[in-house]
Amino acid sequence: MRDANYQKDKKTESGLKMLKRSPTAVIGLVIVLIVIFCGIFAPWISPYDPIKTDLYSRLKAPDKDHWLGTDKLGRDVLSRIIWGARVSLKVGVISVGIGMIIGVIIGLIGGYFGGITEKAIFSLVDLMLSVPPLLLALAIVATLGPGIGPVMTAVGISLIPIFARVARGSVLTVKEQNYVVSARALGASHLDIMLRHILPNILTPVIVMATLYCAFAIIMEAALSFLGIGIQPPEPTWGTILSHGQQHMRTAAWISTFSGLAITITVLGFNLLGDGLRDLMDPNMRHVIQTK
Amino acid sequence: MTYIIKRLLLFIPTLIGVITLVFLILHAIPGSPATRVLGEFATAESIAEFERRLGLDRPLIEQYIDFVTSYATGDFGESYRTGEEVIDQLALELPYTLHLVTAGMIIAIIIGVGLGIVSAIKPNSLLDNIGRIIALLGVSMPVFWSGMILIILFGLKLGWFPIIGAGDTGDVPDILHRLVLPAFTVGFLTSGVIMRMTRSSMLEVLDQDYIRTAFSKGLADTIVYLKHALKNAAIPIVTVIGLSFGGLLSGTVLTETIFARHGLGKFLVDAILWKDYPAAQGCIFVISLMFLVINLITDLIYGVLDPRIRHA
Amino acid sequence: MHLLQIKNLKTYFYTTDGIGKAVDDVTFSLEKSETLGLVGESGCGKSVTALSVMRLLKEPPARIVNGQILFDGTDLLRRTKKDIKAILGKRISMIFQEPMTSLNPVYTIGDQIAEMLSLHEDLAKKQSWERAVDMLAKVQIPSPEKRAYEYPHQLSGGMRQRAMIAMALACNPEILIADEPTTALDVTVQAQIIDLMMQLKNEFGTAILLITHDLGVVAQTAERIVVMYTGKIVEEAETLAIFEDPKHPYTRGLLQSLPNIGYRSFSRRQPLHEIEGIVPSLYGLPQGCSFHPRCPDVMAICRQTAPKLVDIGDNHNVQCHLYP
Repeated sequence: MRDANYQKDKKTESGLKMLKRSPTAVIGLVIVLIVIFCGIFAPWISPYDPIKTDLYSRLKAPDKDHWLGTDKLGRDVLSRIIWGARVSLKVGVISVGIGMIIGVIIGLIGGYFGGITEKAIFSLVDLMLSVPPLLLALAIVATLGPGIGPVMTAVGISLIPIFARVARGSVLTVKEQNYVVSARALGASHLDIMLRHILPNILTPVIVMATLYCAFAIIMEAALSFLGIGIQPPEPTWGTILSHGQQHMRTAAWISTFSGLAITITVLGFNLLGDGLRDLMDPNMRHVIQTK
Repeated sequence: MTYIIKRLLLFIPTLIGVITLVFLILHAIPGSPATRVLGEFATAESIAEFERRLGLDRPLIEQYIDFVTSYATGDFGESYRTGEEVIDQLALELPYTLHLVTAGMIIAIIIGVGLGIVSAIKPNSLLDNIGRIIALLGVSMPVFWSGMILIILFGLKLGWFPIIGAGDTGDVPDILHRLVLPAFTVGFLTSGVIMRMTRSSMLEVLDQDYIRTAFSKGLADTIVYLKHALKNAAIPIVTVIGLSFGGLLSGTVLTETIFARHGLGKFLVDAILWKDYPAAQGCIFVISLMFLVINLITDLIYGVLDPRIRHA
Repeated sequence: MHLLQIKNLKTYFYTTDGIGKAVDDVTFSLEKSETLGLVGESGCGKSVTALSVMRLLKEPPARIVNGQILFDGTDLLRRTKKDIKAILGKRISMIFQEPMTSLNPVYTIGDQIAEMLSLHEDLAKKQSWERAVDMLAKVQIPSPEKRAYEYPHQLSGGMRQRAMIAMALACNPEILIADEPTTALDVTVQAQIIDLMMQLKNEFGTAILLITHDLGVVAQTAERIVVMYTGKIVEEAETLAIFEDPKHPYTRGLLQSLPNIGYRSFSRRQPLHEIEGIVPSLYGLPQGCSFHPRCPDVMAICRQTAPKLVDIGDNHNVQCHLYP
């Protein structure tokens, strides 16, 4: 028990210092924070109502009134993009949450017990991985119908096998550590060992994965909405704005350009942050940083 | 030889598994497909009629066995929408998707492996940093956006390439001309992942003793990098190429929609929008099958690349 | 004229920890058909010296900052990369410590030897393969025609090192640099490999630069010995002189840590000795003579000034304040 806590403390303690050593992670963090800020404060910072139409200013190119122009119903693109951050973050966080919680439970059980339990669980996991991720989500949305709930469920389910694998991999290494072996020898229950000794020690890779797969979930939501089977208009999401912009590519390229840019920058932010965290957490990398 | 046979035998249960998954996705979820297809306001009689016609009123296990056996014999059922055999429709769409997937993968491999090698040879150089930025953009830009940017730039502004459709069968130059933009769209998406893996794998190999031996023989740098290093670095690269086909196939679905091209992806999206479940199921199965076959091929390539696997 | 002359060679490593002087003003030469032992504990700059000659160092962090490497009358450090590549493998070749990892795992050993021949000898594929098989026979690998088709993982450590030697000698080079060629091998195999190298050296007339931490290995083979410590030469003499009358305390320490040289150590019942302490890091070398913290004969001056290499007669050079 003390061992497990000791390891955890060491990690959080040097967390800030490590962030300093990875400027890309800091850039990623700043981007992510800006997006979160936009999402939370959308009602106050967006210059216009994102769904209020204004037929007198349709398809207007960017100017001083509408920094990023307007769409065919005269709605302000900037305001829609700011509000879109809300939806993207919501979907990103909740679907990663679904995937992470279920995936980690599955991976924990499979990795810890091993044998037939592991085989049974992971043949199912591998099966899910044999369907390309977007197709899996497409199929699930197809049965559940459109809307934000089904999208989050679909993306979340398609993330389960990925988290399950990562969790199992970490469990397998942690399982053999002295503090787990000794806890078992002292007669701790399986549940106790899993929750108190193993779980805290596999959280690092899981959190890195969660950051990276937030990016993935945001792209998936945008893709589903773009295809018209995800979140439906008039709700402002980056995917629907982009799909709407596609119809006006010739005359109003700014709609799709800026909404796509918003997705790209956000995804880039999560990727940079996740990559940076991964490099910093990787013991080999950490060694390199210290010795050089 | 036993390695190949072992790997081939493993393929069969996976195949049955995927058929099961396709079945489960659309059958085991609460609510009958009939209500989903016919809408909330359908009468009880029309629903019963629909279910009887398609055998949906039978026990689930019976439907499942029926589903697996008919899939195993290549019978994917009839489209709700057109009444045609799904497999015939898929056969029409398949070539377009194969063109796009092949061309996209070739582009991804050339860009990804090329940049990865260059980056690994001189780590932290300007070229390495440019390569890494390109890779990062590749994994961060959604295909439906990068595709649109290509359309706006090279299709609308410069007018170099047509932006809609896949061309008529037979007219090879036209097909190739229309393939350029979509292929670059999906290729760029995938190149980032391949580049990252090539770079890290090459960096590891270049540190090995046998690379020093190769240089000590007086071999030209390019021979050392391409003959001695790349073949050793190839297994993780091939693995990631195989896995990235999943992303590439997903990207194909979107790219076909953006470029209004014929193909399995567009067919699937239409089938889902029309709630044409047999067509959607068949299509998901065929795309997953492509993914499975590709992963089978990559596993077989391992044996070719590494004598240690072949002899194991 | 010397076959190979290294003059005032300085190879430094530039890292964030500072500058590591891995080779610091080293001068020695290798004569035709001679075997020269380059001896010292690991981390003393022996390998870096050899890799500087071969231009196999990773640059950066390494950089040859000064010196000359004269081969064939010209300075290798001033030749183009292309010139160097024509010399490597063909006129100067090298074998390494780890036979396990020094051969490419994905090519057959026949391929790897034949590659050398088709590169430097302008032979057709079939001829280079035949020559490769001949070489495998020369290094006494049984049934070489069959073994040529095998991959490194199918051979034992000793067999792999034989294959490495076959490869290195395939083009009949003038110089063979052997970097700890037997360290990773079983004791019985070590003797076989050394015997083989000597036999081939006599047959081909190759000069050998034998790098080792084990004075026992050079005792039987080398004509002269150069002892290095922390990037500098501390003693250089004929082999007999080193063993009969070692001057530098470091050389004496190395000799005392040898289990048995002939019968002497047994008859006098000298206890086995180890040099106290460890080789200091290149990034934090002690002031004055860098050996002084470990030296049994340390004097006040050793802590302040570094000694110079002096000739004490009979081509015996030593770098120590004991010999002013």
